[in-house]
Amino acid sequence: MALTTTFTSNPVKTIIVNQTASTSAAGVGDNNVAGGPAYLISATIDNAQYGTVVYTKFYDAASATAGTDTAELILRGAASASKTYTFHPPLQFSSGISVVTTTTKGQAGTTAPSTPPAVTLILSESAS
Amino acid sequence: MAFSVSSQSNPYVDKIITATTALAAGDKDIFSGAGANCFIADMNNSNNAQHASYLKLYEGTNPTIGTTEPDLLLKAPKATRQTVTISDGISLGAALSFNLTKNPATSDQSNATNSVAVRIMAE
Repeated sequence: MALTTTFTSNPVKTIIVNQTASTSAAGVGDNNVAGGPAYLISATIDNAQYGTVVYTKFYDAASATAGTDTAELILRGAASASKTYTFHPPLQFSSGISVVTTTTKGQAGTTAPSTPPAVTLILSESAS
Repeated sequence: MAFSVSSQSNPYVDKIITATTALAAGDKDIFSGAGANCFIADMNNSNNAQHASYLKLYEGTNPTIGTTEPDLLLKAPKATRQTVTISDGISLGAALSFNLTKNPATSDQSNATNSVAVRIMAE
């Protein structure tokens, strides 16, 4: 499970977060992926290698545990497919962005996918 | 709780589901047992400067509001009209139901303080 965060130097300060295997380890995924508050422009859930629907959950917090904390956003990744969700305007996470992916839907689900999907986030430090 | 479905003739989407005041009680089984491939969700929370609102989409004909976990949870921040676009759409093949609440918790059944219009474009 490899997480990389790339901060670009362009004027809009885009942040690209790529997790090659987004999962849930006892409800914990990747915490504070942007290193602080950020705005979510788009999220791609690449579940092409897995024939089961997954759910990627986003918490406005520096750390989060699925099943315990309350996600602000839950996106469904289709089985054997890649989906990109785009937000207009970009969605603010004022405390930080923590991400968990499970095969169980909703707030309560914590089951890890046996083949975790790749998740790519395009973020911005500002709303515009 | 009232919604309308209008069919479009353009090649991109077939139907626009409109709930002029989306409620926590929800709108269930929008297409009478048929599924939906949802492309765009638009939530106009401009009337609520004090709180965000949360659209919950369910794949099913009769989710138990407050208990059934949603398949998607989308947030409209306070005083904001939020649009979410999904590439190729997300299929809720069994059926489409949705509701809108003031808080993101599955158990929450509180209505937004002021009306929130929701539009979902689907085929």
